[in-house]
Amino acid sequence: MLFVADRALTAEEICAAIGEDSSLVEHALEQLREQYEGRGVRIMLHGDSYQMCTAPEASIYCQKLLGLSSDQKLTQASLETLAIIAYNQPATRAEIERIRGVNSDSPFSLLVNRGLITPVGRGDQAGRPILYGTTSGFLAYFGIGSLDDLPDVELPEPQA
Amino acid sequence: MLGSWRTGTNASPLAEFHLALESFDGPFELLVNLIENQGFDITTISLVRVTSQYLAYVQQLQQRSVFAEATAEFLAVASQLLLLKSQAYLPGIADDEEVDDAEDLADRLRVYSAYRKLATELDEIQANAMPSFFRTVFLVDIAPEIPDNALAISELILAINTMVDRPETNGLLVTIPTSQISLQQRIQTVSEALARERELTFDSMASECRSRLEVIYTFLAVLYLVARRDAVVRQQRSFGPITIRVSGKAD
Repeated sequence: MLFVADRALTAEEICAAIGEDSSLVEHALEQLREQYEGRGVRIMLHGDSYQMCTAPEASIYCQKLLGLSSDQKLTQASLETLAIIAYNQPATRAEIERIRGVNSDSPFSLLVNRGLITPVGRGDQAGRPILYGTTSGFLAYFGIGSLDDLPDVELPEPQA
Repeated sequence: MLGSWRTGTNASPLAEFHLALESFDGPFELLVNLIENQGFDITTISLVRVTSQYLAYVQQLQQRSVFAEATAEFLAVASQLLLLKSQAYLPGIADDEEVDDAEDLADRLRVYSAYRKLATELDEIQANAMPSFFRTVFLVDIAPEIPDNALAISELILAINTMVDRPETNGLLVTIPTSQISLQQRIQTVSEALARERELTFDSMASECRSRLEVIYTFLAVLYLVARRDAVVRQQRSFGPITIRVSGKAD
């Protein structure tokens, strides 16, 4: 199922397809993840979703094969925006702009267009603002296997 | 608020702005950084001189495209410096609200600088990143649909005949002068149809086209309308039907 899917699958979806208990499936997925370590393809864990991807070590060959260039790096503004979302997801645009102190429209649309963040729902606040979260493409871009593998940092609580 | 002047990898127009003052000689960004993070005494800085030197700098910039950006950035930072300096001079006068503001500002700076550091770490990761790739097309979608019952040759012939008999293909002998298609016309046609129907599928429009070129022009027309935000398109899955709707123009 992970092999044919064109997006990340949640453990729930997999459970529903095979009719097994969720703890069993999650255990099996974790085992699979371990088994694929060191192989050409990996299983990436993004939040509670799993997706099969190529190993970081195969990166350069895949880029060549797909004719992709690797020189389009994200700017500081985009990285800041991305960092705030990654560590506070789901987050609204207003929350991000409050932390950054500047209008963040252009890094925002760039990140959405590059498939690194995506709307994941709407908040309870007035106006029901769109909530954004990172995508599995975000992990893929940085060659990270799971959100848990992001740099471990102490972040001050953003005030309400 | 402070912000975009604090760029790291991509140079901000202010990055090249140098100051020569009595108590400080160096890049403007460094000065702001010193005041913010190192407790550099802002009262030793003449804001008037910072501003006049900045204006001289802007004069040089005038021809360049970054002019507006640089001016806006400076205004944002300068007003912040002004606030910090006035607070440094008038500690007793500041009422509770202003104290809150100052604390709020300090707090925001603390939060922001944490994320700024984090962004730098991400920047390092992306510099050495070996990205992963995954499948982007759902395989099942492009597999041909095979009907349950095998087709008889006669049915195929029937299907071909039905197609040939369609009125639009009836006049196969007529050569359609392709040069008569103009993108302008196509845009007009599509946008009128859209105004009438509110919602269309690309397939329905393409089926009315009499040549491949016309289909291509129709597609270009749709792209044009989307770019003008007159229309929004939606495609649920790869190779799926494309729906074109009138845009609400709401942002």
